[in-house]
Amino acid sequence: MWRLLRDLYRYNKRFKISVIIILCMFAYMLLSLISPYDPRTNYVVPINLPPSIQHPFGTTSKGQDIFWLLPFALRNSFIISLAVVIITRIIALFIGTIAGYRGGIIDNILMTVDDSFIILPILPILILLKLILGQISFQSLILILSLFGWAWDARLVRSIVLSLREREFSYTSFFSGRSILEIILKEYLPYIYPILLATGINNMIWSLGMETTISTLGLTSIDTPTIGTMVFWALQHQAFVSGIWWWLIFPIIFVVLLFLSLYYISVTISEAVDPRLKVIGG
Amino acid sequence: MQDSENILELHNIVKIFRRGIIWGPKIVAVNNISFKMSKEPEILTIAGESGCGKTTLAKIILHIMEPTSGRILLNGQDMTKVKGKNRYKLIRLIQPVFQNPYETFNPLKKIDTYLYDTAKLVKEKYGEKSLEKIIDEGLNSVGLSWQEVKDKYPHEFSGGQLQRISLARSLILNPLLLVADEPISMLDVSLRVSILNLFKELKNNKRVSIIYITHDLSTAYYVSDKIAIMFRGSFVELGNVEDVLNYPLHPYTSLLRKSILKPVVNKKDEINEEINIKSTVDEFTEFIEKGCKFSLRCPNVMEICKKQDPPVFFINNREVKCWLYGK
Amino acid sequence: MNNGILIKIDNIKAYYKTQSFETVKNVKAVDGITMDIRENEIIGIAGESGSGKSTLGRVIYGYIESPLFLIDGKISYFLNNEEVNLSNESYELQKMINLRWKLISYIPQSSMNVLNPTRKIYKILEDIIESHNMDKNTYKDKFFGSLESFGLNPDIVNQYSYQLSGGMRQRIVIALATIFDPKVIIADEPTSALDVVTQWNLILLFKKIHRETKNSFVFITHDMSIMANLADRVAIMYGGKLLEIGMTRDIFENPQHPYTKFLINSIPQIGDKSEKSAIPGFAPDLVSPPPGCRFLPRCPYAKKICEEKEPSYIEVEKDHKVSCFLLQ
Repeated sequence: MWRLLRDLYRYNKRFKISVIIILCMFAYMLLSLISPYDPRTNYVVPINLPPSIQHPFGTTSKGQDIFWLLPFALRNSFIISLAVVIITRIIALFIGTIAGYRGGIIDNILMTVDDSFIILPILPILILLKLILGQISFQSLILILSLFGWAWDARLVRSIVLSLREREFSYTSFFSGRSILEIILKEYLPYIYPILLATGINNMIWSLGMETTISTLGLTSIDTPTIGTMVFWALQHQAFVSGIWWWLIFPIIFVVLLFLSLYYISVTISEAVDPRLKVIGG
Repeated sequence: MQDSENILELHNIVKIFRRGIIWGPKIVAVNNISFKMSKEPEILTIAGESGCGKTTLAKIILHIMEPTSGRILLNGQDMTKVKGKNRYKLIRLIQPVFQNPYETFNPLKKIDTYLYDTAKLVKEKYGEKSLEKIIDEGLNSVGLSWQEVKDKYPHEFSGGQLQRISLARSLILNPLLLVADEPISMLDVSLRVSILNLFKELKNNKRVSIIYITHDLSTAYYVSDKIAIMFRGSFVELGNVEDVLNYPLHPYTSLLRKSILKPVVNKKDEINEEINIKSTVDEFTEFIEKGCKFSLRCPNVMEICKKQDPPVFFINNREVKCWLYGK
Repeated sequence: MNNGILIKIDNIKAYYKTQSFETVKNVKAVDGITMDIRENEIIGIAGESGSGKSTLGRVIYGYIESPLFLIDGKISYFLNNEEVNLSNESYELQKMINLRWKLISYIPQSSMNVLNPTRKIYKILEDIIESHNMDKNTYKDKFFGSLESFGLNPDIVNQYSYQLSGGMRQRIVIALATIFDPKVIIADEPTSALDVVTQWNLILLFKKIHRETKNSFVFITHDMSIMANLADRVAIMYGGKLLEIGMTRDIFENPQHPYTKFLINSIPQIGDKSEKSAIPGFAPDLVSPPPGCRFLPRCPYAKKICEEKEPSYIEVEKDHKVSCFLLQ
């Protein structure tokens, strides 16, 4: 696995650039640790200043320095989506494996539940939740997104396990003395986790996008800086109309770059894992 | 564990598959099969065409699949429910050899993991010997060594080598019975005979019995002592391999026998037969046929064959399931 | 026509190139083969895995696309009035396309699976006839006629391929491949996935077609028993090279090359329980083959010269050539 990633890095330009961009983003996110301004405070700098040397990305109508606000925004958005990815991987792995291995009634029940989650429409439900709960906090958002994000990948895991179960090496392992749990962990996991990795990155893109959308609509805790809440506030203050383009453009550029790099990484890994490099013998 | 005189006993094994989820025609893949293998090591071939049910039967004998009804006794013990601790008993009695050597091992893992796992189970019996030594001795008996095999992935070996490693692994636990499902059909022609010779050696020197499942009657003749001809779920003929293949009794066995090509150059025009239109009956139609399943194609078909499935008749040292031998 | 020779294959080399990041691998599947396909003959190409026989089949048909590349050599087709050549310099694609299916057809390996499962058989038939700009009615009738003589009910054309058994599908593929009465039909392991009885019937079928149309078959298989009963001539391939070629009777009764002898003697037969021996060693490495004779690593009679040079061909008897230093 690591050898593959290393080879990809060395030989695939797209991959290399994407990885570098992501690493730069991480470095930028780390700047939040040494930020001179608390992101929750307002009016710490003059408002509506265009980009300059003291304020490289300009300032907002709420008196925040965008250059020092963005690391927090990126970081929080990223943490939310990372948390969602990890939780959904675990749920998908669990449910997919149990359904795939046991089959029968358990499989039917789990897949019915799974189908139900796939068809749930997320936006109406979120609006409903906001009406009921008031504001949706950081943690609640992670939980809710996780709830919507596991269903599709669980099916993928299940189909992999279903096909692996009938392959002879499952039986060889059994006849070498291994228990079912050991077979799943030792024989199947190496097949499952490349897929989980590739779909995990997709999932990250999805949850980043969801978070941004939801926050832009004002459904989340609008004091916590995320990309979405930045856009929310910018829209609230009519930033574009007022000509304060830097408030919108910089978060958007960064999030688009983040999306694109993640996308390219995901696509490149999927292509590389695809066994097309086999030779037709004879 | 009580010692019984038979290492394997099958009693009225039936396996029914349903086509379709809730209702649909039933396919009787294994139709009431019973036979025994005694302690005397022997190689029994279960021969049949694709779709006769031999792989299903193999899975049932290996306890990978549960029969719809019937009992299996391994060394006198009924091991129908194999879970948890029972598994250790089972795998010391019976081991598989699969058709595709590249699928027998996980392509993503090194081969030695399987050898280590199996060797660990017998470690106590060998006291001082290291795991590697146990594995090495096992590999030697199939003509390989630990040095050649360690630290390598399956794709680094040829099909023939992998099949030998698979055999070596199966033998580490000193099983009483090996069930080999088409073990040589995916190997190069020039290597097949070496595996067959190995089977004979294992039977004679290591006292292992082997159930050899194949569609190739010539290799069956070469390697086995007894043969069971399987057709659409039943054993239509069972007996010594020389008797059955040189003097077939069941019409299906005769058909198979006749269809085998010899690697001998004949005068061209000797083979000038008309193409048998009856041979285009498909599998499924035959499976749901009432009465004898071969009746749609049998050149000796009688009225009773279409109505009633024949029972097994015993003639000399053979079992034949055919109305031609009734009474 | 070139005195009875339909296809002339001259020192053909065809390799598969694969690239994994920076490493380029050349799989030398066909590495210098010279032979001809004559009219009104069934010629068998025998070999095991790694022999290159399937690749040779493709190359003869002219199906040379990435990752397969024609490195050297020339194939000349004398199937109609003009000579069509296939080589590195002159890949006369348009002319090749005109030959395809009408003068030369190809039945690929595992061909029971080549029928599109989402189209009924008669649709597949119509597609083929239309794409070659031929008259629908004439050829539809011909197809039904073929089906009947193959022992199939012509109503079968209203079904989908997955509804039919392997043997039936194979017969349909053969009927499709012979529909325009090509002069050469290349069949790659057409019977290997089928049961013994169906195989027997298909061999009879091939003989019947050959008898009635007098066309030529190139029959690729590893099964020497089929060769003995079907082929007029046999070519033995190993590691991309041609080791021996001759009339079937000569090959079976007077095999010269050690590999041929092994192949024939290692086949178990009913009625014979005597001990047989396999060929030691493993399949040849096509990526980095050894210099000298390809069979060297497994040959019990290897001499010093076998390591250094590749043996040339010796004509042992009329129309029976062998490439082996034992005879020189």
